[in-house]
Amino acid sequence: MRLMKWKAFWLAFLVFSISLSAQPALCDRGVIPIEPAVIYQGGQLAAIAWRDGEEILIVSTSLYVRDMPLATPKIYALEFIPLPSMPEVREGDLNVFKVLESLTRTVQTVFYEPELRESSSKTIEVIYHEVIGAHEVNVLKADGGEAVVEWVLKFLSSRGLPEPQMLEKLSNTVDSYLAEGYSYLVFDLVSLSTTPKTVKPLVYRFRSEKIYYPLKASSIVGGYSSIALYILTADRVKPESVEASGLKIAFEARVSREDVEKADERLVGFFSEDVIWLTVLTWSGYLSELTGDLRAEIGFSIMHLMNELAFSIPVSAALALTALAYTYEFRDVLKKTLRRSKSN
Amino acid sequence: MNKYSPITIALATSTSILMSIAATTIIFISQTGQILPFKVWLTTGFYSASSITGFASILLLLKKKRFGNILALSSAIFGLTGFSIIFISAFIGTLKTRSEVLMLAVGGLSFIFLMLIMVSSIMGFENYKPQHQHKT
Repeated sequence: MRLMKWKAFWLAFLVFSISLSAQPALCDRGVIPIEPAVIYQGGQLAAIAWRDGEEILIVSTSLYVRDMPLATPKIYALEFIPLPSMPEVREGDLNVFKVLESLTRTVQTVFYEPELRESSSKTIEVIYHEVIGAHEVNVLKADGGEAVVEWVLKFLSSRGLPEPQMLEKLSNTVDSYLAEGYSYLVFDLVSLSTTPKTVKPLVYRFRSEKIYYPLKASSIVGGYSSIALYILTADRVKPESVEASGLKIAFEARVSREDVEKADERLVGFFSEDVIWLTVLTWSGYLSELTGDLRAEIGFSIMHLMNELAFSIPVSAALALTALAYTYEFRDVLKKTLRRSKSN
Repeated sequence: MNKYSPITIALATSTSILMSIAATTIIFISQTGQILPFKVWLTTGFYSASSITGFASILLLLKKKRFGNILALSSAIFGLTGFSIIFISAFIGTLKTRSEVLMLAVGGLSFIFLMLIMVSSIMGFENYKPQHQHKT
């Protein structure tokens, strides 16, 4: 069991190194296509800042469709993010990703295809509704997946939109999040076009005991994709706390407040330290494989020392062997030196 | 110095230089913040150990000391262990980072040299003729 854990951890380290020309496609949130069209994501990015139980989550996407049906002037997708507490929602700036990317030299590109499924009550409350740029954001507090599906149908119908796909999956996913205590559900209606269009990011600020990122919500859609998360913290992220999510630590370095400030002033205001840890987590695979969310912690971990130990043990053995060989071969010289020093 | 020592010295010098370049490159890459896989660090450790013992053996071999052969042999063992780690991991899975490819390439390039060091150091150790220094 212990061996399996080790194996899984080191496999997690294996996949991406940041200098590798990565092609992480991102899908940090669930996307529910409303029309039966193939949705592509080109460079969806996410940044997280976490400190003392509070998190800022900045997510952006550039969704687009290929071969848009002639009869359909616009195609919409409903994005879904479950959160552990009521968020404050603001519009962000794409600059945050440009700066963070420049610090880590990563490149993102994405692609995923939805599975076409047919659709499937309890109480539901819309506690926040706002149109922010290209986003129409609704935050719901619900106690059942079926109620959420009913609300989605009503909401889309009021916008003159057809019934979306994957409602059964949505209902099941919502139920599992509600069972875990994630009762604040964000639904963001975005319109898509045939060209990659970068939507301005949304900034969510909410309470969270751990560094949280909803991965399981992405499993609503099928297909192959990738994820890249830029995480800013006051201390190093514990590798073992990331392991369960399936994400891999691809980059970890200390960055200055000035660098973070260039990315977003809100992020730097979060930290009192002069130096902030920037960690990049990556993942690639089939979205259906995502079964758990990111709930990472920060602080000291013995795992941080494993690489140093792996390097220093053979080196120490070599130095010891060299010292022994030299001591043996030059024992006469050493004896003479010792005698001289004693006599003096 | 027996007839095997010059061969061991030449081989140990070249492989030690190659190994130390590889290890330095990995350490340099890690300084940029990139997280390198555990197996790369383990291989780097063995290559560094190979380089240390390799360089250390040269001086002893030049001084006609028997333990120079021991150090050269251990240098070859360290190098081959490092190469085995990266080779087996590449064989089981796939190489996904440049650092892994670098370590495999360095190990592959030095493989024959390391094998020859093993042979020449063993032969050198076996055929060692101690120098008798008679004091009058």
